[in-house]
Amino acid sequence: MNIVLGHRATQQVVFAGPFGVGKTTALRAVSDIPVSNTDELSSELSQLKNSLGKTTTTVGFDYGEWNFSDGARVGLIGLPSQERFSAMWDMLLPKSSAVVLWLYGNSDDALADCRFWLEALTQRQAVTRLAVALTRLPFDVSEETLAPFRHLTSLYHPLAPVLTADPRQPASVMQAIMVALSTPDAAPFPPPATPPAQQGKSNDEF
Amino acid sequence: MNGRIWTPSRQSNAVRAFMAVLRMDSPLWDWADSPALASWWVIDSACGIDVTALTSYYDQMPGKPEVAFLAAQPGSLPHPAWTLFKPPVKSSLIFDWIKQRQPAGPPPVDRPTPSFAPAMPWRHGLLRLKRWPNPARYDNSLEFTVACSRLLGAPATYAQILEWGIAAPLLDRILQDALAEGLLDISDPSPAAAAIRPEKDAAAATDADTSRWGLIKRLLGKFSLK
Repeated sequence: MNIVLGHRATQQVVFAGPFGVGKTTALRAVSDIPVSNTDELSSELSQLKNSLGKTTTTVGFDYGEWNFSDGARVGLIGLPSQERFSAMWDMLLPKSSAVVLWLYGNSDDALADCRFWLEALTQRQAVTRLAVALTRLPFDVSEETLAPFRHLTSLYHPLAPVLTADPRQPASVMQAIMVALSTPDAAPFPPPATPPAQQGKSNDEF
Repeated sequence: MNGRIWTPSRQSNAVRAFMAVLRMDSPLWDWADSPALASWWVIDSACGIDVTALTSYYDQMPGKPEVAFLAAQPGSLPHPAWTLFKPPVKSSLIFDWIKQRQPAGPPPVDRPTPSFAPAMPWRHGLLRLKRWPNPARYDNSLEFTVACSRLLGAPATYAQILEWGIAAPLLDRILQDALAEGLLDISDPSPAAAAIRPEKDAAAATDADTSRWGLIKRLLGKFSLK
């Protein structure tokens, strides 16, 4: 009997981002296998503005895979969004080959979310191959809309891409992954000093 | 006139089909990011566009674009100067519309339009991207990804970039947008500088690099099949 402990992928692409943004949807859009999923009924339903009826949230992590003809596998991992599951972040992020940070592009909290996640990724050495994907925006959105995200992201990685993307569309998800992987090396800046009031997220969100 | 088209709903299938027909006429038809920069507009009424605001903006423009309005109901045409097309639009109707409004013919295929030529400083300099342009603007072009990745890593001339396999119209569009958005550095194309090859070509790849590019190659193969 061939017993395998853990997953057999040698590389992994990680999707991170706030609750309901579409990480699991994106993973399902591109995975070659049915996504192993740990969704549970969410206790945050009343706080949702953007999730369009989403009633569940990932409490462990979602797992999908790309399989290649030579037998190689690449793991696709969707992180749980809540900070109380940050032990999963500690375990999964440092091993990632690329990270796509999914954010609500149409949310007033988007920049605060962006900063929160960039801090979390930086603390886990996971900004080297990063793409910031803004959802719920037209693909040809103006540069003025992207500029604040570009500026904020550049404080953590000077070359990291900021793009608009639709987690429901496989081509769009693939594009986000490809630009994350294709970003040249740049010595990431030390995380910027953050005023205490901006660190973490408010208790309301957890 | 040039071949730049603006639409408020580039994700619309009807608009994309319209553009596809135009590109059958000439590959130089291209998207404009601003209505003021376009000589042609394509408006899909099914996309929830604020038509009142658009017509108001149109009326105030000194040089008015030609407007194709896509709608199922003939009575819904919001401006008398606009042309109604009922989806699905026949390609022959689009060609007729273009030819009636473009006496000089479509943009030539073999050479750049004269109006573009003076505005292409990137063709004569050493280029480097400061940040990624928004990839979503350029459909799902692998050539875009490769070119931008290399231009982020090291400077190159226009001619060198073309050697990477990217089509000139797409490259011009990327560089034009990047320049307008402040994402492109153009420096002196001195012979010594122009001879610089991307650093990665000469540098020994690390294990992490090898692993990363190996994954990219795998995905390119897999992706191109989807």
